[in-house]
Amino acid sequence: MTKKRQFDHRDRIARARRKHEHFGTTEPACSVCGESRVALLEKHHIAGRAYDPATMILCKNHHALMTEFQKDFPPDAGDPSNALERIGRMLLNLAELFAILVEKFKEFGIYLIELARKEAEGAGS
Amino acid sequence: MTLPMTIAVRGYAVPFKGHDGADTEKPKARRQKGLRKPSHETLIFDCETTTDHTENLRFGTYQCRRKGQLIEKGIFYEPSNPKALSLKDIGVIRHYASKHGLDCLTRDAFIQKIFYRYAYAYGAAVVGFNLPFDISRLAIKYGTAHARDMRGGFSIKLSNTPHHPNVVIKHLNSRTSFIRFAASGQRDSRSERKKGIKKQHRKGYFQDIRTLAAALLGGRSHSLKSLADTLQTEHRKLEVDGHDLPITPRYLDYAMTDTQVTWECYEKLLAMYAAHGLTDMPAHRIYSEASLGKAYLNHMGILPLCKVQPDVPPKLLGQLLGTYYGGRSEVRIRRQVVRVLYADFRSMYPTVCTLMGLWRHVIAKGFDHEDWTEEAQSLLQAVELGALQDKGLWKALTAIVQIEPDGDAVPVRAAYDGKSRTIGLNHLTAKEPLWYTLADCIASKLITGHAPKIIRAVRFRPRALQEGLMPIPIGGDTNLILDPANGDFFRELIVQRGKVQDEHKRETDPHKRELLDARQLMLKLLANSTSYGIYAEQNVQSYDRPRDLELYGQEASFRVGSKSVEEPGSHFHPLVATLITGAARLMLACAECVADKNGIGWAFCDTDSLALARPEGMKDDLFLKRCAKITSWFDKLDPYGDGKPLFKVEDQNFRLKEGKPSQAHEPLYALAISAKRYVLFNIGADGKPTIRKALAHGLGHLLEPYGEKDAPKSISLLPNGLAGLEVKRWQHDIWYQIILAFLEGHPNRIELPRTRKLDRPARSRYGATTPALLSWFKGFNSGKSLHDQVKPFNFMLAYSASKAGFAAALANGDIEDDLIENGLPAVVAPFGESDDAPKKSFDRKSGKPVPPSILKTYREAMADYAWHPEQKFENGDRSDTGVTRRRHINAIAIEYIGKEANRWEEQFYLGELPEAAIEYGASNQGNNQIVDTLALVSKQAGQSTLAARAGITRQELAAILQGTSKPRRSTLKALMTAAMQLTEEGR
Repeated sequence: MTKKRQFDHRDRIARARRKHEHFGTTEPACSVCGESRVALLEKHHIAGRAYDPATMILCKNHHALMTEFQKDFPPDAGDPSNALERIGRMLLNLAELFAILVEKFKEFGIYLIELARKEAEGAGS
Repeated sequence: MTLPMTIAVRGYAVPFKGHDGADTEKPKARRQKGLRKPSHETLIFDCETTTDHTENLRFGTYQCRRKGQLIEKGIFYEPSNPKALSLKDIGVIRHYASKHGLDCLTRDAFIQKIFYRYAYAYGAAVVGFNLPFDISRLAIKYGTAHARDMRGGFSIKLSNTPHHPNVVIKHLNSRTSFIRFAASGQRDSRSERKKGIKKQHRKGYFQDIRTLAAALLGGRSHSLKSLADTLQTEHRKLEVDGHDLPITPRYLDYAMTDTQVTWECYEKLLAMYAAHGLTDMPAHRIYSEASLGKAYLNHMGILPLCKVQPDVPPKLLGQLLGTYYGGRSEVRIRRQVVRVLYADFRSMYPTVCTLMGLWRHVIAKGFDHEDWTEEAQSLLQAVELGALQDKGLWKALTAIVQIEPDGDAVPVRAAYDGKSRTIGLNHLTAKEPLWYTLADCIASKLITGHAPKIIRAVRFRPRALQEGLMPIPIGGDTNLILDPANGDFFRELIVQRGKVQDEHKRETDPHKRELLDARQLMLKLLANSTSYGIYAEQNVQSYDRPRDLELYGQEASFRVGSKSVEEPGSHFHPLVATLITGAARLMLACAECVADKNGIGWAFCDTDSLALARPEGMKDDLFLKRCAKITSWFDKLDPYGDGKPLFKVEDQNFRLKEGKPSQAHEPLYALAISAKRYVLFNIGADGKPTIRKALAHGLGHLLEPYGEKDAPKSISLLPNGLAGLEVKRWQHDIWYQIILAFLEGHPNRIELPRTRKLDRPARSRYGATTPALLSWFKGFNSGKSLHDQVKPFNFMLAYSASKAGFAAALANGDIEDDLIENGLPAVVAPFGESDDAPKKSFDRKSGKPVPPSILKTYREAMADYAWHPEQKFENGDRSDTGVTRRRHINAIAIEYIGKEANRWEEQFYLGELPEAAIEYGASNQGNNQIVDTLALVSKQAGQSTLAARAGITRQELAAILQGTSKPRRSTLKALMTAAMQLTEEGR
């Protein structure tokens, strides 16, 4: 087994390629914060693994956060093959995701305005 | 009198879905898609081999790059084959590597440390020129590929390490192969399998630059040298004395430069491809111009017919395919020198697409069809030549009609020579109705003067526009945006190209000229790749056992079995495909009729060109005046409106001034032998010809017996040599001597060039590109080590056996009994440059050696060239000269066939391969009609005569006629050929 993985584990480029294949893109990044170091990225099942196969890329912090939110949803007693149950789970998860994104948009908006003002000051002086 | 024949039409075959409509094929497992693009790394490598039949690896050179920057380079060599590389050679390689700071690896080390690391673990692009050959040089074992998509390909083992998968290569043609890593072992972990995750295995990213170059540079084949010259790379290929000599530093320089040149070509080609802006499609997925066309359509958001209208009735698709015939290629004045004016239609296929408004079909959400019988009948009754100058009429040609052929002049596909099928525009009478395009029926009326009897007509209208169509900037230029949803895309392409060409002519700055040239090439590629081929694309999958298929033909469907299954290409649109070629044939028919009305004949036509022939006794001025009238007849149809003629007088008609055509006419003459076998030339004051255009049809498959250096001095060329002629020197010389014989009045005594090179056996070179071809060498390879075998992609030689030589060898007892049983041998031999190569030749059917004395020499092979018959027409036999006449065919039954050009390249080099034809045969009703005809002929000629002619016993024939025996397709074919010959002889 060790022999089988000799390239992948010792070789940084090979490891990165495996990660890229795992994420399905050569430029993976966290959908919330933009973190792009592959070692910090994971795939997150948007509606929960039992309910829908759709995934998104998140950094470990945001993945933990999203998983934490999922614990507040109704317990997993429902039928995963029921379409209404699946859509409901998906909507709850998307709502939490949008909530995080709302915060991020606010932060980013303020950052851009500050950046613009700094640039204007720099140009004025 | 009519000639009884079975005729062939295309059918639409789909896998039989069972009586309850359920698909009998297993559904494919869905896997996650792998990464479409390679990583930033690139591995470029090239192998140097021995030149004998084994073509073993001697050494190779490689470069590894990241984002284009060189990170390592080196040499690898084969340490265990002293016949290929001596210890002294290895010493030279090692010394060279250490002197130049290069890595020096054995073949095994290269495979382990470089090849699999870059190609497999890193996902690097693996780049080479003629990559299948280079990869197969590294093989330690080979076998047959079994994956569904790679059937008919090789599986090449490069490494003994268990997790290193084989490389599978499926050869498509001399420029293109599918190459990927094989799927090996269990690729999904237990936890993934538990979660139902199915990963795509790593396929690798193999880029043969020969493939990309052919797609981006207009379909031309290149050597690495010519490609580097065309792309103006910084380094060029060096010259060496030979490849089998002891290794020298100079030879190693040559090899290292080859790899560098390969990289530079790749870099330039990538830049050219990037300019197309097709970001969704990685370069290694571009296999041809057609791939480029499909990528453009996808980029514009155009969905193929199978996606927008998956429910087109297969019966209708069968009828549409039944109307499909290729371009017209005919000879009218045969084996006679005639004064001609050679003209061709400007961008024929985009032009007819524009005239009929076919782009609207491409961007529609499918099509609706309606009964149009009465309208078609009245249109056909009323139509005359003049009406075809009305562009509006061409818009109405989007229809197919079912006719009851009664002497109508329509395309007829049949085995006129009893062997291979060709298409001829002949008079056809048939009991069974047949589908044709409306354009073909109008052409028939123009030619015969009477309208075909229409039973039914179906007209097609495009549905609403697809949504999400996106304009694209050509070459990234925002000033040159083509919008698929507005206007006619084909027209726009041609107009824009015309403008760019004009600008190019005016421009003096070399850099700007280069850019403009690149742009016009891009537009040409786009027009070619989106206006025809992709709509007719069908890919053939070969199976070991016949598959159960449902064949949709002219009317009813029936079940057939076939080992070859056609799968429609992604943009398959039989309606567009058939309407294009139908209209192109109508355009030629118009030219023929306009010429006829002006008292002018024609010598030959070829898809989009026509050689107008001066009638005997007509003065040249009057001839040119009438020709001008003929060419200007088409001006009213010009859809581009940029002042350029639609039916253009070609450059060959004008006198050359400093190598370029001037404005002054120089009398042009044609000598046509048969379809696509013609030459155009001027006659000098000394009575000697100067060739202006020649076709290598029938010559192109042979290796050149001599080059420019050994050419006979007595044969003169144009001042600018062979430039623009597209034939090799020896082909030029053969044509020259043929013309000379005709001009000097002894056409039956052609003196081929006086050189001993033509007295060697005529040979073709072809690669052992499929397991079936390689299996011919099973006997030869048996018991030999891998180093001594003929391996995948090695070259082999194909020879022709001469009947006279075979008979003489028989009389002398030089031939083994096994060879006699199989008739004239099909001769192949392992590749070799030396004169000894024919001594190793053998019959591929029996594997028995063949004496070199029976092989046809170039002189013998060429002896028949000027007598090649045009059997699809009357007066087209070997020694017939003058005007050919259309045959009158009585179709006694319809046979259904698939793609006609299947494995054409193999057949081109190795001769006809019956197994390559996709034949579905006739329906039960058709077979009964054939048996009825055979009964009639056997009554007239006698059962014994018919049976003997077909090569079967009288008892077998009797059983077939009584219906107690069901004959094979091949037996029926032989019987029909015999019946046709007997009928013709009985006239």
